[in-house]
Amino acid sequence: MITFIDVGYLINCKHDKGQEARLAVTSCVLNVIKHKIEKALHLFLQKFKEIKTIIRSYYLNIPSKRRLGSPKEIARKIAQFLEHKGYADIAFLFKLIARYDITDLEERIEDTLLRLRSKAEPINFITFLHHYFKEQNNYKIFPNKALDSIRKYLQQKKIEIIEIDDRKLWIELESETDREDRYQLLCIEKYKQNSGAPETYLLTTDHKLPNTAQPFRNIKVKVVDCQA
Amino acid sequence: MAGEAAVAVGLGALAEEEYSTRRVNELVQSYRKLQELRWRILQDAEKEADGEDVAEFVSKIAAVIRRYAHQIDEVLAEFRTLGIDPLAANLESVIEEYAEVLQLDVPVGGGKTLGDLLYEGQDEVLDRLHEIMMALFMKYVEINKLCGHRCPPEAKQKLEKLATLELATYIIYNLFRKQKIDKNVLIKLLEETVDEILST
Repeated sequence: MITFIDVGYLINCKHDKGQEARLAVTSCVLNVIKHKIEKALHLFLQKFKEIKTIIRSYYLNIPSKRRLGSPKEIARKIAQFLEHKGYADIAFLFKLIARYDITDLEERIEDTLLRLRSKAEPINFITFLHHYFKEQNNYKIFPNKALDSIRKYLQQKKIEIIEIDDRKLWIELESETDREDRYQLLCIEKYKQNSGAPETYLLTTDHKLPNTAQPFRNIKVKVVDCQA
Repeated sequence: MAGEAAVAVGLGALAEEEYSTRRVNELVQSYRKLQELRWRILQDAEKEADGEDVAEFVSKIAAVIRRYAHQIDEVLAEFRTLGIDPLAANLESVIEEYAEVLQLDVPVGGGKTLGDLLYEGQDEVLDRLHEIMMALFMKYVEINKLCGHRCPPEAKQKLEKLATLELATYIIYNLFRKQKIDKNVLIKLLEETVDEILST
C-alpha cells in the first residue's frame, strides 16, 4: 500500500529506508513548498532588520569561537529560534537551507563565506543570505532551484513523486489557515479516485491534520514527532 | 582611462582607510602611490561632494577622479611594464583585505572587536557599513571569477561602478564624522549604496 508524506514530514523528518514499503509525495506537496519558499523569501527580506536583531540577541553572550559553525548548522539553529519566536514562515526557509544542497547557493557560500574561514559567523551568514536573495535574479530563481534539490533528494531516497492534475483544486479552496493542508488531502483523494486504491496512509508532523482530514475517511493520517 | 583610474583608487578604499588593512605583495610601492593619490582625491571630493542621493555623490566623485586620471595612469603603467593587469591584481588583493575585515576579529578599541560591536547591535552606522562590506566582498569575488589574469570589458565596467561606490561610501561616512551630514541622511545614503552594489 502507498503511504504519502506531507510537507512537514518531508522537511522535518529523516527518511530512512525500510520503514515503509512505498513512500510517495504528490506533486501538490512540491507546489506547496514552492509557495512557502516564495512567501518566506518575501518576509525574510521585508523583516530582515527584525530577524537580525533576534539572531544577534541569541548570539550576543556566546563567546566568539563558539558562535562559529558550518552554514548548515547555523541555518538549523536559526530555524529553531525563529520558530520559537513566532517566525515559522521564515524559519521554513532556514530549514530548507539546512536540509538540502541547493545549487548555486551552496557554491556562493563556498566561494564567499567559507573563504573568510572554514566556519561561518552567524551575522555574516544572514547578511550574506539577505544580499544573495536581494539580487533580483536569485530571488526569482531560488524557489525552482530549491525544488530541483528536493526532487533529487526524493529520487535518492526512492520516494515517488506522483503527478496530480491539480487545476482548480487550489483555486476552489477558500483561503483559510488550513488551505494548504486541505489542498494536499484533496490531491491524495484525487489520486485514490484515479488509481482505485481503497485507502491510503498519510504521514504528517502536524497534530491538527487528523481533524482537517476527518471528511476524507479513506485517508488514514498518522502523526509522527520528529526533527531531522 | 577614467574607468581604470576609478578602480585603481576606489577598490579597497573602505577596508584600507577604515580598518587599516594593507597590501603585502611585491607591488606594495605602486599601491602606496595609488593610496596617496586616493587621499588627494578624498580631500577634493569631500570639499566638492554633497547631494541628496548616492547617484549625485557618485557623479561628483567620478569628476574628481577624472582630474587625477593622468597621474593614476602613470602608476598603472608600472604594473603593465611588469606584465601585470592592474585591475586583476588589484581585485585579488582587495578580496584578501575584505576577507580579513569580515573575519570580524579586527580590534576596534576598548578591547573589543568588530564582531563584538556588531553583535551588540548598538551602532546602526556600523551595521550598514558591515552590510556594504559584505555586498562588496560578494561582488568582488564574483567578478574575480570572470577576470582570471585579465578582466573582460563587462567585468571592468562593473568594477568601475563598484569602486566608485566604495569610494563614495568612505567619503559619505567621513562627511558624517565631520558633522557635515546628519545620521539620518547617512543611513539613507548607506542603504541606497547597498542596493546599488547589489544591483550591479
